[in-house]
Amino acid sequence: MAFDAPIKTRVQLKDSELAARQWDEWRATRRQLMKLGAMGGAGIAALNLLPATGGSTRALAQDAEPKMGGTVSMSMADSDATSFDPPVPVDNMSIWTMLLFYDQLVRVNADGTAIEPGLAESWSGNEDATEYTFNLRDATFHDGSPVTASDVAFSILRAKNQEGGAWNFILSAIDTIEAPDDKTAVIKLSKPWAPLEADLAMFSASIIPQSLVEEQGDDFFQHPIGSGAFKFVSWEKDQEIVLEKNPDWWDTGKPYLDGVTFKVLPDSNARMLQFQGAELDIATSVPFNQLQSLQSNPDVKVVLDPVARIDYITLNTLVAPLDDVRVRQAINYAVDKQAIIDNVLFGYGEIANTFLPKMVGHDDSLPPYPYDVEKAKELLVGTAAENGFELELITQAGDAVDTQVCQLVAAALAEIGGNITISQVDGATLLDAVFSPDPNFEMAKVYYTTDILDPDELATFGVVSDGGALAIGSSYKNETVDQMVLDSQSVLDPEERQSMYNEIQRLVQEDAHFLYLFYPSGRTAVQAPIQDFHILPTGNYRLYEVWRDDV
Amino acid sequence: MSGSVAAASELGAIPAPPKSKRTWISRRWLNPVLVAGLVILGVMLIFVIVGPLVSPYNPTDPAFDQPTFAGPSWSHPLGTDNFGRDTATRLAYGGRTDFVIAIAGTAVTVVIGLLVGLIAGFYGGKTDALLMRVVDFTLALPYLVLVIGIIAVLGTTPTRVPGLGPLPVNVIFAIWMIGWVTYARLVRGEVLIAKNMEYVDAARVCGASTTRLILRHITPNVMAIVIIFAMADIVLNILLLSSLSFLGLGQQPPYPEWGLMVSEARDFFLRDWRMMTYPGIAVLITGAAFGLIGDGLTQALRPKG
Amino acid sequence: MLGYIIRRIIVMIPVLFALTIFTFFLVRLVPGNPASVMLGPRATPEAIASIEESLGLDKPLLVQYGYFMRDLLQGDLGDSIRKKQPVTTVIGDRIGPTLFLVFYSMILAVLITVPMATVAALNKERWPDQIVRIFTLGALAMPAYWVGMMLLQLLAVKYKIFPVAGYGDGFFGHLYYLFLPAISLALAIAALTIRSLRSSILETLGSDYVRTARAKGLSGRSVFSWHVMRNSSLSSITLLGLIFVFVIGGTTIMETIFSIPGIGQLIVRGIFDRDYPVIQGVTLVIGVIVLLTSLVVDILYAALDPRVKLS
Repeated sequence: MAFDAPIKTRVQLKDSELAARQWDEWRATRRQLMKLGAMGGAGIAALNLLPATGGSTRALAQDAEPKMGGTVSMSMADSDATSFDPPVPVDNMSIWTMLLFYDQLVRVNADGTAIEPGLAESWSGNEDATEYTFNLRDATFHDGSPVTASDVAFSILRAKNQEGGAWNFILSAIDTIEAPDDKTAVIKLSKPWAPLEADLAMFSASIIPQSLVEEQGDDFFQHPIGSGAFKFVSWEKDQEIVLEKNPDWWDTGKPYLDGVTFKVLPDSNARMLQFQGAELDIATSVPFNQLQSLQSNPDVKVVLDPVARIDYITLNTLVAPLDDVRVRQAINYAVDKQAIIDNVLFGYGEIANTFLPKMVGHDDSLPPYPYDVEKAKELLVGTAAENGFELELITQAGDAVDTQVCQLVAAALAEIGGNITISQVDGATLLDAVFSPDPNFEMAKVYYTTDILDPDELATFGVVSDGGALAIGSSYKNETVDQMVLDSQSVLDPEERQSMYNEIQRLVQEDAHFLYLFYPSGRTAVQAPIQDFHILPTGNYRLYEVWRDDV
Repeated sequence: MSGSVAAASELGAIPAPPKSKRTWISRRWLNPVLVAGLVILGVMLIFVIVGPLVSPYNPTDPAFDQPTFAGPSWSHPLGTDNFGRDTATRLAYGGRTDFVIAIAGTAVTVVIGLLVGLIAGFYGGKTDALLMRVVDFTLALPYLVLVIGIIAVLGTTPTRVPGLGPLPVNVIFAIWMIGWVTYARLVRGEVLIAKNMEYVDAARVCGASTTRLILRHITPNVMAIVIIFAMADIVLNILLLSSLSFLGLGQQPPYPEWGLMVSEARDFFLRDWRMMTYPGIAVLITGAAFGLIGDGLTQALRPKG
Repeated sequence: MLGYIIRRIIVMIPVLFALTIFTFFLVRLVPGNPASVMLGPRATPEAIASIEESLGLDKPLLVQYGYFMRDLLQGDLGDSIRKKQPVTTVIGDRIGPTLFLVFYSMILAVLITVPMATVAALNKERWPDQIVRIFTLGALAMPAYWVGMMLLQLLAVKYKIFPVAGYGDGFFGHLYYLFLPAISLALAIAALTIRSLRSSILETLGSDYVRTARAKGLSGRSVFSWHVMRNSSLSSITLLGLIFVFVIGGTTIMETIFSIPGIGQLIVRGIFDRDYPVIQGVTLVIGVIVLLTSLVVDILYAALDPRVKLS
């Protein structure tokens, strides 16, 4: 389904089309790479031009010439950032902020459809895709020192070997990184690794200055230095983070803005009130219930973006009656997701059909579980839940949307004999109950987002039984699925990989280890002078392309 | 808890009520403040007891056949919420939770506090010193934080109570664990004063045993003060429950509770701020009723002069 | 006097000691642990174990407590797990807004209290007294955060007189930004102090020495302003001290609604993040403030009332 209301936004594509397009382009790039690999690494520039220029789905605002200058204030809606040490944070606020002042070898393009050059001007892979050579451009860190290949090797290996790091697996295929000269980094893999480029665009693979980090240790990350579009200025904990323009950035001419101030405003009322009072230029995570009235306000713009996020209820497959696949399927049939989208999201979302959000690799053709109470009741016949069942549904305290979703789910399950008790718990309790090695819960409302333009990250966490997240709490285990995800990592042919992913999504959906709910829209409100603000599917934002037309 | 402070300081000035003639008592008990408080409380009690019985609506189930965010109308006197549920019905059911938690919480803390205070005050010495250190210690901890800590340990899972539906029982436990402290301090102070009064001495001279002394002579005097204070405490416990619900740690949705309703309405604050007013006013009226009763009791129990 | 203060401070030590033990073990009883909060849902058990080791959380509880006490005696409250800063710094940054808010609301409360209590007392049982009574009962029964939201809607959203959130810059900036939260708290505080001051004024008015003063020919006004107010304020000072103690631990929701970066938000966040050093640090600091306040109140009491002798 598309959005109900006519929506004032420059994103013309529906989420599904965009996702399809992403995948097509990703495939195109990949095919090029294969071809080039076969040719022995010639014609690299042609390859890399493709995603950078190829088919932008997002027209720039009125095709106007961006103006230089001015600053913006923007909300940090979840909480304050926690750490700017690239491989450390797991919270989006830290991650998205880091991406503005650190560079990576490659980055996600403006449409969020493909990988484009970052610190690496160009790159090439060998025939069997186990060795990649990256050619660095002339770039400098904010302190003026040049970015060298040894900084690259240091940063990426540091991220890969981070003790206790949550992201090590992302870079686990990397064996060694050599720096034959200052501007060339050679990454050797232990096996062919399809998601490599997407992985290198990730925040954890940010390039940081080796000498300073070694000299300052942890202190470095309190006032970090990168080579990115913005320089870090100050960080007043729980209040604001200030960044200023890096005039010497390699992407000449950008950023347009002189600076950005992030205000920590986790309370949605405080955030929207500040936005209404024009104390805030960009308000993120706009509450669903205020979108309509904001859209009718001519002084502000509402920007809706497809973001790769899925909201779902994880079902603990170890406890009765959820250990029975029929019960889990019945639960999926019994809930009217459209009603949730209409009444809680006020229409700003889509029904989730697979464990992957709308992103590269998502199978759009797979029909979601339809709302069918009779079918659900049929499925329950002969199961332990035939004569009713009692389950506890936990959700994070203080999240109004989640609480409302849970109420509708509980009411829907009551129709098939479910007696659902909702418990709000704080985040740490939820983590402990759901994601500990010994899960202690029945149902939990959670969500996840992706950080890379490749389905491998979410497949590893979401469905692989030993992927490190117990298949996001459900203790789901399907050996066929495990093997297929593993196999797909070294499948370099995009079409073959997509068809494997389609099969994975179908199998996983059938096993119903989640109650699939919805893909919410990314919702940002900006003041009228703010131009070209968008959220990428990975959730971050290219503030270096944002400008004000009132300067 | 700050209310306890106020009540305590006001009450400090009240001497023990003298034995009095029956006619005097009846006039005392009929003072207008007390009557007003009882009437208002009665109305609220009727609302929460009878309301759910006569309401045609379900307080918890989403009702998308009804208008959502509706203003007051004949079919929905206080309008509906985001799920089309009748606000008045939810207020009535929610009030049950508030009354039960506040009264059950307060009643037990009164008993514990009374016992501890009597023991500390009457026996004095080491027992007293130890108990009072416990009191100091509890008071030195930030109240809300302590309650949040206890609830975090006990969990927020509501317990189904027959006839009342799911209740955040752990909130009651948290109140029990902390609430007695103020009573203990209050009672101990009163006992120390009462112990030295002439009529207690007289009773002792007449050969009354310690237990008898406590039960017959000291407790009734102290009780008057405790009951008055308990009225303020009930209000404070309603406010505590609503604060906890506000943080997601009190009553659990979809079951209504006044504080939870304020908190739920807060999400729609910029869309329809009126949703927040009704539960707030319900707390206000109930609190004021208990306050008036406390005042009225103070007048009734205070000697003329 | 000095001896008394020293003795009182010595008595505090076991209470604070018990407080550290209690908080230390309570926070560890709560399910969840800081390592898994840091690492998020995707953490592997090995990763959690390695973080726990680096935080010293793998050691026996008593050993951990021993380290905590050792550092504490050197004035070190440890480092915040989440913020990776010393807890003393974190608290130092946050205590300003909270103290400002608390003192601001108490001053506003006094400004409301004195005239209302005086009018009520001088018109005992007449209509001004009844109005004040209704005001105090109402103000006491309203959740302060609800009052805050209502004032926010009216004075900040509708009439745009006050800012909607934040702490402001500079002294006057703080006064302006914190007015709405402060007045919301002040109403609740005034509800208590008005009643207390009213009854003490009545008590003092009825006492012998006021009658004596009148008999000596002092005019009604001067008797009232000096003798009565001085003596009546005693119990209110005690009460204000106790209220201060209560409010300082109870600003959490107000700080949330008005986005004030104070210790109320800090400690609740700390609990939710299982940031043990922050929880321990804040409770200890609040505990010290609470105990010191009650000491100051007692000293003030003695200073104002010649009949009270500290012993």
